[in-house]
Amino acid sequence: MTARAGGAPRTDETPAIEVEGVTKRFGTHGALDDVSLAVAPGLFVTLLGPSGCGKSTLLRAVAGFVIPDAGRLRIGGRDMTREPPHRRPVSMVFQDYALFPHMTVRENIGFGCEMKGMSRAEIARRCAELLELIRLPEVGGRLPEALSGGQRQRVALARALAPDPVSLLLDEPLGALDLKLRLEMQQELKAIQRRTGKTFVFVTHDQDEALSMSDRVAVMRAGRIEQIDAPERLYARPATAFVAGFVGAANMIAMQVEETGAQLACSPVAAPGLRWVLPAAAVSSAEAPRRGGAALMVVRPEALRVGPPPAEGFPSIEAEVVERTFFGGRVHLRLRGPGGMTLVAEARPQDSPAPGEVVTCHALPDEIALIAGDAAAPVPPPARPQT
Amino acid sequence: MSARSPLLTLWFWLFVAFLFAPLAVMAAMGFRDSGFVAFPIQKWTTRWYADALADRDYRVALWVSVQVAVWSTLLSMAVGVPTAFAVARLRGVVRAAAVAVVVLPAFLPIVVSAIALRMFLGRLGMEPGLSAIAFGHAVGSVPFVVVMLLTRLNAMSPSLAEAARNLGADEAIVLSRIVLPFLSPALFGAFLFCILLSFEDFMRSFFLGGFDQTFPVLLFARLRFGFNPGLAAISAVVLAATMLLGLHAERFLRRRGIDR
Repeated sequence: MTARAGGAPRTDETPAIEVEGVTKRFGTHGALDDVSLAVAPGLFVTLLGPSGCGKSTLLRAVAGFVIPDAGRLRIGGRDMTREPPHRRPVSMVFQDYALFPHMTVRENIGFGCEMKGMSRAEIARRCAELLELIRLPEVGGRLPEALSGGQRQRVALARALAPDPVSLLLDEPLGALDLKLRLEMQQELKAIQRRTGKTFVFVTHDQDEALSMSDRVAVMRAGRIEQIDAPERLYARPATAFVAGFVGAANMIAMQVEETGAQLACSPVAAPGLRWVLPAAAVSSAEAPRRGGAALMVVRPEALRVGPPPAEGFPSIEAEVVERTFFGGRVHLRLRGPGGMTLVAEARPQDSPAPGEVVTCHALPDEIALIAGDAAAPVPPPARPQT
Repeated sequence: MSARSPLLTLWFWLFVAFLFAPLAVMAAMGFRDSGFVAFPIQKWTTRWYADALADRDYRVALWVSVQVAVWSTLLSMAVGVPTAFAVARLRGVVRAAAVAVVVLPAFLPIVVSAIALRMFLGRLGMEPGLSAIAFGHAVGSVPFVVVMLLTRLNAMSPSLAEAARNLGADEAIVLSRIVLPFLSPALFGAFLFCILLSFEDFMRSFFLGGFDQTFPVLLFARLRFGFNPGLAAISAVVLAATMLLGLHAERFLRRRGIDR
């Protein structure tokens, strides 16, 4: 284990994991569709997406349990596309922990080291070190069934770290825990990742988990990576309608692009009378807006401000408050705009209007993302898997 | 028993009596100093027990039974365990069909299967005798081995083997260090069950035995000359031996902590 000060990712090295054009089909169902991904060493990278999006398949492909139909896979710079699972220097943490029930905690943790041919003394030292790391120094002699869910989770983590792999692959490892324990383990997992400096590839369908823990999040959908970015950027600059809808809440307003020259002007489809001018930097999709083309304007609820715009030309809209829900420090407002447009805003309780009031709302140009072209195609609302 | 309901306690003891009263009567009969089996026992003797233990025929038959039990068990495990692994990999209708085929022999009337085996083995040129009996017993036990192993295999999360492979174990190590230890309670149970099935089998042993008599077959032969306390005595001895073995096996399982 190499301890590293701080959490600054090292990006100048060979990627810990490199996936290049990996495709996998199960029967007629495409599980992975030409996926490419490079994970820099020391990063905490999350594969986020709804169930069936291929995130677990991608993880299992890295581990060697799924052999891709096409594409290449490098781990620590070495080509491992055809390498069997037991010769890949990656450790998996399973959702059901997969602790060996007939072995003690110490034997479980030592298993990987034993397979690497380490000496008994080394294994014992390594186990002690890891039990210390997961703050469970006293459970070494117990069987897994004598542990609580959270303890099992930590032992599974220690077991995966023991053989000093290039990367840890975590397949929804917190899915089986209740909410409180889950939040605790998120902190713990992140802390251990920082302390060990290991590369973590983490799979989840929970966007909060992804945003709060990761250095990078790859949002997946239907076997493809839609966008990979730092959490803040993913939230502020979604590249596709799917990402905007899956990560966080968003007002997504269908637009028609009117002008693309020196200034970018567009109108909501539901209210063609309105015309908003946006900075060119607002475009967050790969594709540039075309004149007369469709686009999607994304405004997060907290960026939709109630009140007249500070200056002329700011995107603003008149809307009637339909519903006001109080959440202590903030209120949620549901508003109806022109053309039946539904908007959601988040405001401070003291300056929020009452239901029935008609207010002017605006958004600051740098808090608006505009998705143009095919990426703006509306997606059915993501079915959140309930786990 | 943690339940304190008097009715339940009564029920429990009735159940125990139902199970063990005939055996107790049999064991007691072995002490009757008379050539006939009858109540009440007026004079007691240990003669029947001494005779039974000294009887060479009994010892020969018991030895045949033990050999048959061991060989048939080894054979049915050798066939049943890999079969269970194979069936466990199947899915859906194919799997249901495979299970049905494997389990079918257990539902055949034993007389029918015994006669069929006799003819079949004759065709193969195998003479009636110890190996024929062992073969017949193995055929009868395989379904139970497969079903017991399959139940345990189904309880095994596929991620266990994957975790081991992921940590650097090849297929052979996964089998020896993960799968077999996980299966050990079922393996041990199946082993014991086969031994007992074989030991108590009469029908197949009768039809497939030539001059080799297993213990139940010998008892049956003796019965034709009338039921005397000697038969009760030897039965009681065998019963005691089997129970000791069973209890020891159970303790063994507990000590290993693998009966869960």
